[in-house]
Amino acid sequence: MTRYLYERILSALLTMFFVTAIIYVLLSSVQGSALDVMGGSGGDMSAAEYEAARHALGLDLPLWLRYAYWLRDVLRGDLGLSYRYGTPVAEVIGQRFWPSVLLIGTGVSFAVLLGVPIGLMAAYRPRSVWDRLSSFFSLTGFAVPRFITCIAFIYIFSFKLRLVPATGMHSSGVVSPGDLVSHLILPASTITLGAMGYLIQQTRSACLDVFQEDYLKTARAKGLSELEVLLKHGLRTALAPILTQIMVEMPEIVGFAAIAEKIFGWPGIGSLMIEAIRNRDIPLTMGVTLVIATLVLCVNILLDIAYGLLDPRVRYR
Amino acid sequence: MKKSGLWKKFRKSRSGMIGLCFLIVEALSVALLPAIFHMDPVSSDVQAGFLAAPSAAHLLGTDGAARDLLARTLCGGRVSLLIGVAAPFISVTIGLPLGLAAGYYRGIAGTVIMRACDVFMSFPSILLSLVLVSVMGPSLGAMIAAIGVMGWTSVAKLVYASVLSIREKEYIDSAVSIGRTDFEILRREILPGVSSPVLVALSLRAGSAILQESGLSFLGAGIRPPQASWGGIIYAAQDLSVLTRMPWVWAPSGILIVLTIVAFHFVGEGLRDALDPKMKL
Repeated sequence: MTRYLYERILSALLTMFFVTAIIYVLLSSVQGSALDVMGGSGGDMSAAEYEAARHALGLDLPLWLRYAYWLRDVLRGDLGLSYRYGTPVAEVIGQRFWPSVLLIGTGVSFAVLLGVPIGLMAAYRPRSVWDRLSSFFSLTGFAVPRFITCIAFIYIFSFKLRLVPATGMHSSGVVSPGDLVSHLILPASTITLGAMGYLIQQTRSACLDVFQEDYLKTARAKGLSELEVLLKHGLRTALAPILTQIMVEMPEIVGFAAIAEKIFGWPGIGSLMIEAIRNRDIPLTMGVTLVIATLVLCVNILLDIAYGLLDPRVRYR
Repeated sequence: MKKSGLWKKFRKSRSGMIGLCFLIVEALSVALLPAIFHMDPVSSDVQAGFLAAPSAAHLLGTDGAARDLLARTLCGGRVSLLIGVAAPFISVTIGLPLGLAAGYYRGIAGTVIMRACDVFMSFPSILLSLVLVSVMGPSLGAMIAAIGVMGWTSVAKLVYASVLSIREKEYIDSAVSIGRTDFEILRREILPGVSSPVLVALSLRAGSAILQESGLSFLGAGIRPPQASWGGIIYAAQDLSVLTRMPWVWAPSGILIVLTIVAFHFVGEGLRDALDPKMKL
């Protein structure tokens, strides 16, 4: 188990190196730097000033050297200054980090709490209401673009039914848990809906496989109740593919959380990254990239541990 | 499998046929209608008014710049269908050879290729394509390239998995024993075996390519106005008064995106059932 974990952590670090390197190279090859977006090359800056500003930002160094410097600073715990805000990147991200974790955590938890039982029941009773519910959610999960879900939810729940506020994280001047929850409901449920589709599909097909196994007959013959058979033997075996599915989906969930954050005005890191890319704010984009990659890979390592605990073949390696 | 045999089996899938018919009708409409009726998606009809409700002159109303929404919706359909068809081909062009090489040679090359897959898959693809599009500048070609390139991982993984299972077959051993070169074995023995999953993947990827395009255009990073795209048209719905009081602006494009993706998916499932019902995709 320990060796297995070391392997996973090492490969996660390698993955992070490559993800950040790829994004750094891409960002640096963008036509027009942050200076141009800020209106530098237009006219109010002379050629000499422009060059001086380029030099100050380190934009005149060769690409690989810039990345090496960035990496060195990161290892020292310094993410640099945001071009746009002029404040340390770590500070900007710090303000937006927990809202994202709250949003994604809530959305994914509900996706698991709702999706796994629906998938299980759909496999247990084929062609029942559960099965139809499961195909409906799978179909909406991949066929309806996230931004359409977001817009539809605002239209229905916020304007037609007037149940919850549409945008933001707090009503102005109010800081209470109840207020936070009422703002959280819409964006979190779009994430739940988006994440649930594939999860239900995966749970259903994993459970269908398990339900054909002979040991379920044995378990029933031993006199276990249906519920025990379903949970102890059915779900437990199906849990491994379900965990894998969450791992595979995690990056995409963060991706559509970014869209949801943008539309609902939720102050998270996803919408921060969209903004930073648009502003060609390289330090900020790199900082968010690093945080998102770390978040995704940490979740993966945690799920890997859970996987190891579930599967004795992995546990004793 | 012979072509006629595939068609015969595909025809039995009702949802597959519905999807195919929908796509054909849609493709013909977006290709021909604007030309036949001389529709103009870019110029403004100020007399009709901005964000005007549907009328005889503008069957779907006008948008925020007083442009005809029917013409824009049809032309947006061209963008979506083009990306839905072109981007998956780019994914396959990159992913197929890499997946073949990784599965056939395994070893270091295989490990490197599959690890590269994991690297790409560990980051939100919408954010990666956002970066790619901002590098290449917003244009139809850039969108197709960005979305196509991002799709290589799923094709490579799929091909890799099928090559691994084909490799174990005895006819590969016999091909090796009669001295066939690697290239010949790949082309004559292995490629036919992976063509079915790739064909299905093409139609399934088409749906997700359209999804990505609409998302990017909606974020304002894709097709830029005045050129029309469905995501761009729905962008107007970020304005609350448009969202709540003028559904004619965003509803048709929204419905068409969903229907088109579902249609591609049905075709993909129909193809899968016709080729190999046990295939897991």
